[in-house]
Formats: sequence, structure tokens, C-alpha cells
Amino acid sequence: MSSEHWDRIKEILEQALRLAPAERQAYLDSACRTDVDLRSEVESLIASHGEAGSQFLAAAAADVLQMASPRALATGTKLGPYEIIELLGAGGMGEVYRARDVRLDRCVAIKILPPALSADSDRLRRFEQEARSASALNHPNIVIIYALGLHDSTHYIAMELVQGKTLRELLAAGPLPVRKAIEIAAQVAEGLAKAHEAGITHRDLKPENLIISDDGVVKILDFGLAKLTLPSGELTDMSATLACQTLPGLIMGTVEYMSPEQASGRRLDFHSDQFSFGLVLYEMVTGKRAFQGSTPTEMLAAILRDQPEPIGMQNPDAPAPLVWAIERCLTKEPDKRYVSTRDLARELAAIRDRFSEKPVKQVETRPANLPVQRTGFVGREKEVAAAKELLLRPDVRLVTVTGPGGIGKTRLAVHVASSLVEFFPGGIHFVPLSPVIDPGLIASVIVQTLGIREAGGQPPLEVLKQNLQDSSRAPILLLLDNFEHLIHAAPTVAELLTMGPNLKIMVTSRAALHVYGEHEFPVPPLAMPDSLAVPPVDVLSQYPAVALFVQRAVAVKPDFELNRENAAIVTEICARLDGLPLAIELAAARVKVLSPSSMRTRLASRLQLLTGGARDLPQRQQTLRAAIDWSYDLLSPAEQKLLRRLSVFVGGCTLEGVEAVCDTKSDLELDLLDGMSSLVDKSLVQHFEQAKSESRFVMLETIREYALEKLAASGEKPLTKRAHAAYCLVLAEEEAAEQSGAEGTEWLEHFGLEHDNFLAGLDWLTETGDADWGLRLGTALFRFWETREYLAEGRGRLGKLLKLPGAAAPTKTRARALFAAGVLAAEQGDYVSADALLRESLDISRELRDQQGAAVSLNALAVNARDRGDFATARSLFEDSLALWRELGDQKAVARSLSNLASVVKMQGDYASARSLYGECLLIFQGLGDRTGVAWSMNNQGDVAHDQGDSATARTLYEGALSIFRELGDRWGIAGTLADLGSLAREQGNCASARSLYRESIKVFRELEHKRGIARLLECFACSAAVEQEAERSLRLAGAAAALRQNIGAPLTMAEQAKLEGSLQAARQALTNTAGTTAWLEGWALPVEKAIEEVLMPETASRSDQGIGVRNG
Amino acid sequence: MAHPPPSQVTKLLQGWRAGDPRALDALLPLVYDELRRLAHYHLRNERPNHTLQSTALVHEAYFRLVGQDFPEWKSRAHFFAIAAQLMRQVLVDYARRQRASKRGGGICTLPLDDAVALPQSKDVDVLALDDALNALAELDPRQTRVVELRFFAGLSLEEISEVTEIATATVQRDWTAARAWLYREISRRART
Repeated sequence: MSSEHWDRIKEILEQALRLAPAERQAYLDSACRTDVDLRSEVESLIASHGEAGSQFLAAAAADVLQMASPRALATGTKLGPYEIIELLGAGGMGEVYRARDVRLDRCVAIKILPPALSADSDRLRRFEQEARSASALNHPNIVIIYALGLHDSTHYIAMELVQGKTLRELLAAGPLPVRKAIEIAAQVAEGLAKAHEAGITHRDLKPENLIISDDGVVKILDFGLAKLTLPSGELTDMSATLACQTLPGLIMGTVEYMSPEQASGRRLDFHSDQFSFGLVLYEMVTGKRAFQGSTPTEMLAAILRDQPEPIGMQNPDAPAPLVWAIERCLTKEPDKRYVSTRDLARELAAIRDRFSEKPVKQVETRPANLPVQRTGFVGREKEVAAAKELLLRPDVRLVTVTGPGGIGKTRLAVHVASSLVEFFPGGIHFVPLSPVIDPGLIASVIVQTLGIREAGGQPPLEVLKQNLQDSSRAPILLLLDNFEHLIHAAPTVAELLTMGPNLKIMVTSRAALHVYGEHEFPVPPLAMPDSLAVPPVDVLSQYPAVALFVQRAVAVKPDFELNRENAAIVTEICARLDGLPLAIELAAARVKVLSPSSMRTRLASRLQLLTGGARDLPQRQQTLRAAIDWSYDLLSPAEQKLLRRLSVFVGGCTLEGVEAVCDTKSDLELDLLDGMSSLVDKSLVQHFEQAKSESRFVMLETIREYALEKLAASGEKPLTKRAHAAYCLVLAEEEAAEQSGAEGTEWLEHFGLEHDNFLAGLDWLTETGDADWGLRLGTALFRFWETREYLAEGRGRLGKLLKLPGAAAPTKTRARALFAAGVLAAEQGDYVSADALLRESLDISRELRDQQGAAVSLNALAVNARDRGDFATARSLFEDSLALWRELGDQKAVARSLSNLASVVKMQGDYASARSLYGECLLIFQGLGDRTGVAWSMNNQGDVAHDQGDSATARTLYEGALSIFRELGDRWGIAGTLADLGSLAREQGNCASARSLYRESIKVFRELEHKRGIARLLECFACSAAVEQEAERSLRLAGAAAALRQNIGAPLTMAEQAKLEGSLQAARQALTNTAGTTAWLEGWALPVEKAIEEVLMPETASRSDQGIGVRNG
Repeated sequence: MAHPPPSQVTKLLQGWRAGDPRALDALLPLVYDELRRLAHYHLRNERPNHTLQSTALVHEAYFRLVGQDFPEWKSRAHFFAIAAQLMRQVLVDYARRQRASKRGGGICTLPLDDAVALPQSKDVDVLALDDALNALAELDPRQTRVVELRFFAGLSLEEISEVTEIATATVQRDWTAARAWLYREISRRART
């Protein structure tokens, strides 16, 4: 607004205010003439002037502050039997203190009523009566009042002290998770229902008056208090209501939760609480107020007049029955709300009971992802039993399995965990941490292991919290393996435990974490016989240490056996090796070439014999070190070199990898295959066969650390690391190139297997500042990160690389990496960063005259704009991208680009252009001989015609597409197009035909296991049932579809949601609210297979349902 | 805190009037500290049963800093102009601390009736007003000045007219429009 304009407003305002209200209209007519904006501004200010009254800003600031400072009662002040402890809070309704009831020695809350409120003795009496009767209900969801007292002319209320937070405080962080909202709603409804049954109305229900205790119980506060503040419902008219509520920031809070009958000063009953409750629910679910207004007057007008924005448009996660309940509460006419609040409470309880269960699919036991053990587990029965018992104790949540390297912590933990599968239906998840270098990534690795989707750029710890918090979640066990190098991150583990009661954690670590609640489980060495008094052979072989030696020895030398000759020697070897399993394994592996006696001689020079008494930890570490040294020294120099170089691999490698990294210069002087089998024989490397891919070689962490140390000492580390990074780069770039053409998920598995290596390579490139290779490797990994949804991790790594000093130059490599980071950011919903990254990528491509790069960036920018709803920008960007592809003459890309453009043009409602774009797209695909492309273009054109209401054209196009898909045997196309044809038939009232098309479609989707398609079809069936007046069936199927969508994390878009709701309207109207809710919840609990069976039932059987629908209608 | 000698403040006021920007830079912290000290003293109720008035506070600060040996009213006007702005800062800081201490006062076990506990019946939330004033300053800086002098320094409309050398009628008009505008702005912000 210009200052001149504002001066004019001030003048007119001043003049108008001098006039009597009745004369103002005429004055404004002449002063503002046709300037509508000017007039509405002046009118708005006149209204504000009136509402401000004479008091606003009348007192000077200092006086205001002085008045507002609470004159707190001092600790120890006595009010009757209560002794003040401390002030808990203060507000318009008086101060609240924690106090002690000295008679009963219990803590209470004391609320001091402001003198202004307690002055009217009549009101005070009415309030007292109502507060007492509500409290007398003795309901868990209503705060208990102990006493109303008077002390030195101060009225106070003594009540139950609740430890917790108000709903207002919870809402400060935005909408609540739907489950939590339902839980709170169900409890409040219980309390309200009880009060209403006793004839008590709250009248001032709002988030400030609902308190959620730390153990999850919701309490309603201040029943009856409204009688002190609001004019009595019987007498008010609106002006009176307003008169006492017109100061901003003050009673606004109360106006906001008024019912229409309260707002208009009509008589009110319990229905009014239902409305206020509906407003609270609305806010819990959407995070917004249902009605908006900038002043109390506007607010009241909105309550009386406006319809709130549909809930589904704001939170697609809210289950339909909850939305229906809120809508019903928010009906303007009191008698159209719930006949009794008990009904409402019952409905919400039913929703809670159903909804707190995971939808059927997720109740299934999730298989544990524990690593397969390559050899039998020897001994340790006692330890296993003890560890199991410890882990299953209800008070034990964190068990740390400790011991030196090589003692067998991981094997013990895995063995224990695998015997507990039945106790953890939520899954047992093995999280290997040895490849994780940065303690900050622990949460991210756990998120990935659990297969939870990252959303909206939230920190992984937050994502975990949301997933684990749920108290209804099935018990789950995390096995964090090899924690010792991340010991600084121990608090993260403690934090995880606070997230959910049903989570237990087992950690393996060389040292304890020293966090609260930790139970340490030290792993002892394997039991050994006394080497000075060797028992007979059959007894001896029962000792786990000896048994392990024999087992490993037989593996390399099948004819090895324990006999009277070697028994004493084997026992002594085990004793010298401190009963350390890894050391025993390394020794036993040498049986092929060394007899036990020569082995003993060689070991003896390094290790002193253990003669009774346990050794302490450092000594055992020395023993292990010596055993590895011994084993290493026995290798040939070439084998030693190979072992050292192998240490750069993280998470194992293939033979091809070994070749590329360990023998880059052919300087190994060793046949690789021989070398590797030798290392495997000697137990220094383990060999795993893979079902689908090349077998892999993996080193135990203890050995890898040792080898890495030796590598560093040899001076070969930088070269080998570089060779490793180069190998990773080649592998990733090759796979990435193949992936673009490849079908299926093979490439994903390859990337998954090598991911730890790729990350290690990236780390090294980042550390050494090799920007070029680093950016290339990061870019090659980006599709994998995107598909697996390692969004934060991928973006973080690309971000680090892009910041390297060597990465600043505007090269193609940088442009591609920027593009990758931009797409990942967009997937996280961080559109602002995504835009900036993609813009820079575009700028570089333009600068380099890289048309293709520019076209790709433009397309990504356009998708970004479309996803955030900016269709106009999206359209123009798609057009720019299209123009570039045309210049480049890449026909396939042109066609795809046309299709993208058409989609956004259609969203804009420009059907004519959309059709012609799809038409051009179709011609190109025809020219290219791409039949699939042709069919999809026809299908898309059909969608446009369908949206336009041109059913005949739509049908022709769909049928054309269908016949091509059938020729090609493209089942995805067939299923989708059948569903489209079905919906067309349904809309034309041909339900029988619709059903049969839907049936054929859902059968194909079922074969394809395409869950999204199945959900869509269940929704189609629900809509057609609604048309056919099979109301219960309709809502049941809608519930089943919603459960499936929730399960696979594929919510409907808001527009789709609104459309579906519209189609189900008929079914809802045919049933009572409660019956509708019941039907929907039944569907929610229905296994998907059952739902599919139901819709596939033969015509006659399914028609018999109709009777029920009609009766209810 | 030791008081600067009155003559120093007097000199700075004169310097500022003469157009020396450094004088103002030196003056502001002196006046601010004094106002804050006084406000703190009064607001902490160290003088029980004594009603604090903004006007009195500013006058007291003026007296302490400038002394009675500087009768020239123009300098007094200038002093009030900055004092009003500084009072705003002092009081807003105070309100902010007051709110913070209520919010962060240990584990809150019982709810407040209002999320923002500051406003009492006929009062306004000083922090909300401060925000709204910032918005008003973009539209009309002079009006903001009037509100500061009126509300934060507690001057009467006539005094404001004297200090700002603006006609009383104009001050009156500014005050009326500003009040309506601020009321609307605060209400709107409370809604979002």
C-alpha cells in the first residue's frame, strides 16, 4: 500500500468515526465512491476500532507488564489444609500451584480463582455444584476435584495433580499422529459421554482443558468452570457473548471452540460439547483450526456460516470413519449431531480398537534377517540359556554382549537371537555396524535395515521414533553388531530405548556402552579341560574348546581324529590359546600341514601356557594377536600381500573384485584362486556361496583390522585404496548404465551387495579430495539410493562431494551430481533445495551447451513444480525441455516429454491441448514402432476424454489400447485399461458390465502382485457397490482398500481421496453413522485375499448381499 | 552501575542535535542501561505497593541522566524520542523473559488456561504488539513513533505533539488509526 493511499484511509477513517454509526454508510458511499478496496479497508478498520474499545492500549506498557507479573504465592503458604509447593502456571483463569495436602500427605493441584470470577456468589454456587457433580462421576477421564475452598477471601479449587502435557502443548508441534489422535479422542469421548449421561455439559471444551498424563490417560479439566466465565446459556444473546469476549488474545481461545448455538447465544445442551469436541478433533488431525477469523466477530461468523476445509484434503492418513465422526460432530444443527455422546464414544472406541492393530498384513511375523552361520555352533549351552533368560526378562531392554575380539560375541548373539524368533513377532533385525564409520549414521543404518521409508527429509532418528513409539507395535529386537568403534554414540542406543516399550536391543561390543539400563553379558572363553590332568578322550571331546578344534580340523583334514596320542597336545594348544574360538580356529586350520605336536612347538614360542586361573582381558587380546600373528607368519609372502590388500574391502568381495584390486599390477606372483582358497583353508577368509550371484569372500572384522594395520605398515595402503575406489567406480558406472535398460531388480541386488564397498570408496575419495571420481561414483549410485530410498544418506554424501574444493568447476560431472542431489531432495519433499540444485545443474549444462543435460534438468524441475502443485511453472518447464529434445531429435525422449507435458496440461483442465499432445505422442510412438507407447498414449487420451465426459470417445480409445496390450501380452496395460473401461461402464449405470471388467482386471493385478492396482480395484468395487445400494459392502471394501494402501505406503492423492469420498456418499447416507463405521472397520480388518475373494464371488452369491443394503437404505 | 556525569549526556544530546551521528551512538547505550535498570527495579516489585508509570520512569531516567541543569525543552523532546524507542526495547525484553520463565519453569504439570499467559483482562500482549508495530513501521513509520511515545513512554497526546512537533490533531488521527490497525493485526496474528 502506498503511503498516500494510507493517508487517505486515515482521513476517511477519522471522519467516519466522528459520525454516528448510522450516518457512516452514506459518508463512505461518497468518500470511497467506486473504490471497493479502499472501502473494505476502511470498514474493516472501523470494525476493529469498535472491537478494540476504549481499553486497548489505554494503559502504558510498563503498567501492563507489572499487572501481568504473577503475584505468586510463596512456598509454604497455607490454604486450609494445603501447603503451597510451587507455581505451575498462570493464566486468565488464575494461577495453578502444586501443593501438598498435609492431612493426607499427597500432592494436589490448587487453582486460585481470580477475584473477578469468584465475585458473583450465584455463579460461584452453580459452578461449584456442577464441578462437584462431574468430579463425583469418578471417571478416569475426568479430573477429580477434592475440594473447593475459601481462604482469606481467595477462592480456590483443590484437584487431582496430573503429570503430563495439555493437548495444546502437544499440538504445538503440528498435527498428531493419527493413532495418537484416535486414542486421545476415544478417551475424551468416554469422559464426555459419562458426564452427558449425568446431565452435565462442559461448555468450554478446548485443547487447553485436555491433559494427557505421562502414562497416556487423558483427563478433562474444568468441568463447570465455564459457568463462572460465560454468561449463562439460557440468557445470552450474541451481543452479550461478544461484549465479554472481544479482547484480542484473551478470550479468543474460548470463542474458537464455541458451537454455533453458543456463538448465536441460543440455548445449549450436550450437543454443544460435541461440536467443540469436533473442533478439537479436527485440529488434532489436521493441525489447523476448522474455522478461521481474525477477530472474535469474524470467528463467530465463520462458526455460524462456513464449512471447514475437508479433512481428507489435509491429512490423507485419517481413516474414513474418523473423518465421518468429525464431520458429524461439526454439523451446524445440534440435533443432526450424535443423539447421544455414548454413540460417539462407542464409534471412536471401535475405530481405536481396529485401527491400533496393524492392518492384517503387518501382523505377520517378519522373518529375522540374521546372517547364516557357516559352521555348527559349538558349546556355549549355558551362556545361550543365560543370555536368553536375561533378554526375555521384562525389565531388561538392553543387553551388551562383551568380550575381546575373537571370543565369539557375534556368533553367540546371533545364536541367541535366532532362538527367540517367536518372542519377537515384530522381527529380529541384524544391523552390522563394522562398515559404519560415522557414529551419526547409526540411526540411518537402522532405518534402512528395518526397511522404513524415509519421509520429507526428516532426520532418521525422528523417523525411527515415529515408527517405534507405537505401543501397539509387535515386540522387536535389534541386534547391533560390532559397536566398539562407535562407542561415542552409546547415547543414541539409550535414546532408541526410550522410543518404544516393545523394543529390545542386543549389542555386541568389545567394551560395555555404560548407558543407563544396560545389562552387560561378558562372553567367557570356551570351557577347557585342565591341561595338567587330561581326562579320557571321550570326555575330552565334550569340552567345547576341544570340540571346536576337532570340528575345524576335520574340515581341512577329513581324516583327523582325536586320539590318545594327540589328546594331550590338542588340550594344551587350546589352553595356550586361552580357549579363544577364533584363535583355536586359526590353529586347527593348520592341521593339514602341521601335526598337532609341531603346532604346539611353534605356538609355545609365542604363547605361555595358561596354568590355571583366568587371564584378564588385555592378556587375552595379546593371545589372540599372537595367534593371528602366528597364522599370518605362516603364510607365504605372496599370500601375506594378498591378505593385506584384501583388507580394503568392506562387507566382502567377489573374486573379480579381488583380481581388480589386489593384483592391479600383476605383482602378486600368485594364482589368485589358489591364494584365496589357501586363505579360506586357513580360516583367515570366509567363503559364502550366493544363491543368485557370484560367491563372496568375507573377512572377520578382527582379522580385517589386523590386515589393514599390516597394509598401512607396508606402505601400500594409498595405492590399494585407490585401486579399490577405481574398481568401485567402474563397477557402479557399468551397473548404472546397464540398469537403465534392465528389467527387474537384479541390479538393485548387485548394488546392495557392494554398497558397503561403494561407501568405503566414496569415503576415501571424499577424504582425499578426489572430486572427479567421487562425483562420478556418487552419481552412479544415485538411482540405487533413490529406489532403495536411502535419500538422506545419498543426499548427504553428494552434498559433501559437491563441496570439495576440486568439485567447484562447472563440469558435466558436477552438473550430473547436482541433478542427482536435486532429485533426491525432491523425493524428500524438500522442493526448495531441489530447485536450487537442479537450477545450478541446468545452468552448467547450458553453459557447456550440453543440450541433453539441460533437457533432463528442465524435466526434473518441471516434475518438481508439478508435485508441489505449481502447474503453470511445470507446464512452461516441460515445454522448454520438450523444445530441447526436439532440437536434439531424440524421438523417444520427445514422446516421453510430450506425455509429461500432457499430464500437467490435463491437470490444468486444458483438455483440448492435452488431447492433442497425447495425439502427437501417439504418432511418434507409431513412427518408432513402439506399440507399448502407442497403447499408453491411447489410454492417456482416453483418460482425457473420460474427464471431459466424452464417454464414447473414451471407450473407443480404451478399447483400442486394450487390444494392443492384449496383442503384446502386456498385463500391466491390460489390467489398468480394463479398470478404466469398468469405471466408464459404472458411470454410465451399467453396473453388471463394470463388475465383470473390474473382476478381470483385479485377477490380473493379483497375478502381478501389484498391490497398488489391487487397492485401486477394491475402491472401484466399493464405488460400484455404492451405486447398487449395497452400502455395507461398499464401505467394507473401501475399508479393505484403505488398509492395503496404508500397508504399502501408497496413499491416495487428495484429489483422488475427495473423488472417492464423493462416490461413497450414497453408501454412507444409506446407513447410520455407526453402521457405516462398523462396515468400514470390518473391511479394514479383512485380509486382502478375503476382500479379493469377496469381489470375485460368483454373481448370484454377491447379489444376495443386496438385500441387506436395501433394508438399510 | 556508575552514572555518567550529567554533563556528558547533555553534551551528547547537544552533539546529536548538531548532527553528529556518533553522539547518538554513544547516547543510546547510556539511556538504555538507565531505563533498563529503572524498569527492572520497578517491575521486580522492589518497592511494594508502588504503582509504576511509564511516564514517571522516563522522567526519572531523564532526571538522572541529564539532571535539572538543562532546561532547554527541545533537548528534552529529543531525549523522549529516543527514550520511547528504548523503553519499547526494555519492556519487550522484559516481557520476553517473563514469558520464557513461565514456559521453561521446570516440568509443567498443569495446563495454563491460555497458551500465552501474559494478557490479563484489559491488557495487550506486549510481544504481539511489538511484532505488529514492526509491521506498522513498514506502512507508516511516523505512526509507529506515536505509538511508542504513547504506549511505551506513556506520554499524553499533547506531549507527543510537543515532542514530535506534529499538530495535535494529526497525532490524534495517527493514534486512532494506529490503534484500529494494530488491534486488527494482533487479532489476525493470534489466529495464525
